[in-house]
Amino acid sequence: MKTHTLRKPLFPQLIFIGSAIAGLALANARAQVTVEIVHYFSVDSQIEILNEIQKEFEAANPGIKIQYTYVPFGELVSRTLQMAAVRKPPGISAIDNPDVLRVAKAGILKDISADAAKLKIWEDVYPGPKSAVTDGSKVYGVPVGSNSLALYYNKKMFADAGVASPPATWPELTEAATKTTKSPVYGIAFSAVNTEEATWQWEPFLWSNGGSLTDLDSENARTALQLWVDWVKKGVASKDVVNWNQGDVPNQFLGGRAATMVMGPWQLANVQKSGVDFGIVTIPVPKEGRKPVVPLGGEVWCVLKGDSKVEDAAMKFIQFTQEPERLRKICDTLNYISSVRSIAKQQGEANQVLQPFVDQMDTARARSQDGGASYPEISLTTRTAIQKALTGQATVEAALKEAAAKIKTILAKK
Amino acid sequence: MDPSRSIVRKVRFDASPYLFILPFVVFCLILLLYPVVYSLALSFRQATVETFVSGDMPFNGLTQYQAALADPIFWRALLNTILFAFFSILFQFTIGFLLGLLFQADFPLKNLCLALLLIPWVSPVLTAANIFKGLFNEAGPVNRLCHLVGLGPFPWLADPGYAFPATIVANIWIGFPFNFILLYAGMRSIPTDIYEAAKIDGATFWQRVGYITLPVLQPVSVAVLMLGTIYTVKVFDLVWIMTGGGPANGTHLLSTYAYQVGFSVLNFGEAAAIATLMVLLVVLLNLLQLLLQRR
Amino acid sequence: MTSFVISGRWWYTVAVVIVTAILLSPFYWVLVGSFMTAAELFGVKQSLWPQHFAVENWSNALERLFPHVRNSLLVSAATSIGTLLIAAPAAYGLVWKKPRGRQVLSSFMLVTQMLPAIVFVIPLFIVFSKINIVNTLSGLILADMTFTVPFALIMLSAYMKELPYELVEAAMVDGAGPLRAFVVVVLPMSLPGLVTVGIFSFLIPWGDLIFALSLITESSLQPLTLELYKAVGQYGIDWAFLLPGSVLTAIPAVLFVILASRFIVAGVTRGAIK
Repeated sequence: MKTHTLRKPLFPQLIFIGSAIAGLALANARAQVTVEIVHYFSVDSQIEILNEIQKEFEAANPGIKIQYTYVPFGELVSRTLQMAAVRKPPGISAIDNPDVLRVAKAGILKDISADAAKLKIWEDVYPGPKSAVTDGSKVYGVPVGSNSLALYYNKKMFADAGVASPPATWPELTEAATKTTKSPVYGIAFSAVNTEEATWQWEPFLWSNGGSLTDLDSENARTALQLWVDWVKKGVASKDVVNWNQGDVPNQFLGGRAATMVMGPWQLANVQKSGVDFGIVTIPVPKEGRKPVVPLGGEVWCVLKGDSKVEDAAMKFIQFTQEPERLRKICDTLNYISSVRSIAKQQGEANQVLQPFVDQMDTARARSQDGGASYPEISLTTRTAIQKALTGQATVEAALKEAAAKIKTILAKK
Repeated sequence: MDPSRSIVRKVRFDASPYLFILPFVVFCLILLLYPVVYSLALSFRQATVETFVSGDMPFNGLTQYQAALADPIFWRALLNTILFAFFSILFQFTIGFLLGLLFQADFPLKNLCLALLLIPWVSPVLTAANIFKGLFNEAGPVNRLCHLVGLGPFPWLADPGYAFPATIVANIWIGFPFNFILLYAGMRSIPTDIYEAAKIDGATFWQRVGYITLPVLQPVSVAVLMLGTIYTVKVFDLVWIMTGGGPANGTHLLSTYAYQVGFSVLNFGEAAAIATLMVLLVVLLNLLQLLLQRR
Repeated sequence: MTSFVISGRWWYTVAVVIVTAILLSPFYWVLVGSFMTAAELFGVKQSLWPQHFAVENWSNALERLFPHVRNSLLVSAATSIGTLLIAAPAAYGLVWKKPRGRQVLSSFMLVTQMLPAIVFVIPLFIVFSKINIVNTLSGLILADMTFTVPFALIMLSAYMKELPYELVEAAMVDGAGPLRAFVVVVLPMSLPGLVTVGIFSFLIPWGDLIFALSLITESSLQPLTLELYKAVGQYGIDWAFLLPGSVLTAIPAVLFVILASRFIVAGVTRGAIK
């Protein structure tokens, strides 16, 4: 008796689904290909440009339909894997670049090296983003755009504290931050929370100092971490940085509680709207003469292995997005610096404030350089060390030694 | 015509209990048994990114269990989970019980207040977690209150020693309505004339609570405590959003640790092993509770 | 207990309201913050009252959430009803009829409650994609029920154990079959328990995020929680949406409880039924 009540709701659904499948089959017969694109863009302007591209593309390619599927930020990789596991992969997945090689290892991404080489812009892609999608001779995606980290500073606070010019080196940065620290304002704000964000925010300092995640037991790494630890110890940075994610950090800066912040171009619009008199400079380097080495952010259009018709249509979509004018528009709206040199230059020229980010692109590094497909695990170990040092649970030396040992075993497992 | 009645008449064997539970058993078999068995099976297999998608996850026995048990973070998470559960339940149950008593009377606006008190439980955990993250901020209300009383600012979320109690407080806030309403309904089911008789015999309010309410409520209390323990051990979102298991892996519960292993590192097999160990922990905790009940 | 007559009941109400306010005080931040802009929320001067009321936060949130109310209502209502239909007779059968194998069943259910939801997500996703109910509300309802049904069974078994079974026996002696006895005697007696379990079986899916996240990608089918979760973007939390959105999603649930709690009526008196 009760089982009937349970079955009732399902029955009409089954019939509906049955006819939907039949309908789809008919649609297929008419050579209609649907490319499902999984992404996590949620800001209004981003959605708008995505829809615009969709309309233009469908108009130019009548046999292909584009379908966007929004997935929350943290779920994209697992959702893509889930879909592939049940043999219903999307056409394209906009994967965050450090995850690309790891997902490729699962064998679900198509090697598009041949098609990528045919792209007009391919030669002009910065080496950093290119390395994130390349594994030997295989290419697993085309970058949508790139971003990185730079130093935003509050011009008024600097002036009030007597800081003459924006800092270019670590000693200058520490001096500026110390001068501008006055309760409740902290000199600098950054994110050291227990997620990828901590490693990401530390990498500019580690790498600019010549260090690498695969060798944390080095003097370079120790100095880089000591910088952070000293800031927190001296009260120049809040103890709460271990709890702040990259959403909390701008709130501090915009709320007037931090004089500088380590942040990327995606917050530019918010900062401009807020009315804070700000400036941006490239990440300060350990000492004069060194070049800033920053990590690369930004998603990659990856084609999933599946129906060859869908794969081809997906590639067509990617080619469509890489046409220079359109690419420029996409990067501007999605808050990226283009991964393509010529277009990035245009962006810097059009908007002076973006120039530091553009300048950094030459030496920017893909995170997967440090460990390839094992990067996520290495990142996890690293941030444990960062947090241990910041909370005073371990000295910088001990924390990094422990992490380095663990990373050696992770790399050995490969 | 009542079919079970005719069965009872025709056959000596009373099938009615089985018919009552039939839909439930069908439901369990299809939707509950498969996931449980699947998870158990997964914990014995090497299920990482590559193998999971290809579907052929090689059997590797107890390797994952060993890996989990060898990990010091696992033990810290285990200890945290036990402490988290103990203190959360202690306060949630007590507050819930006292509120249940408070609401036994009829008074104006009663149903409104009752419903409002469910807000902590009904609010999205995302919001609740952020509320407490904001409250325990270095410059937040809690520190300002402490300042008023002369106590120094505490690094609530910046230090695992403080962040952990903060997560417990947040959990108590979220969970007390659950205890409250279930105990309240249990109290309402108690026939009123028993209380009348006791009052006539001269029993005071607290004597009535101790000799009537508590004993009669026992099945419900046990169920609430058991479920409370189970749900508390499973708490995930709250801690994940408030602290991410940090700082320095200091506030990890088994659930958040399993998630970190499963989804940040994409080692589903090991995550399943941790989940199974979690179940064992809960079974132990519940047995402990039952034993304590019997004393 | 309910024969508690208080002269001047309004004093009692005041006391309860004060207790309620204290317990709900953290939520004050949500209410007040929902009218502020992000800059004000985190500004240096942390005020307890918004400078100017950003009412647009509320109108935006309402606009975004309203289309999804229907989905949440459907899923929650169906889960609640389905759960009670399956679990109530089962609880009765387990407690009073004591069929063989009930220990195994009870223990198994406890175990299912112990497993974290993520453990259910992947296998259910696999099962549902095979029978093609991924991305449908029925799939979500069934997924939610995997949690509410065992919960309901455990709680209802406890509530039914509280009841005087002699009344059921009396009814059966009067010639009622087990089903009639169940419907006419047991159900009314266990009404507080049933309503409470029904309320939770409604509220649990109402607040569910993880099943909805894994099983529903079709935007028009998304329940409220998924839409609200969009407040967590890649760049940080959209407070202007999250705060009013949280209040808005809580309102229907609270209204439902106000309505339903009227049915958690005072204890039945043994004498009355006899």
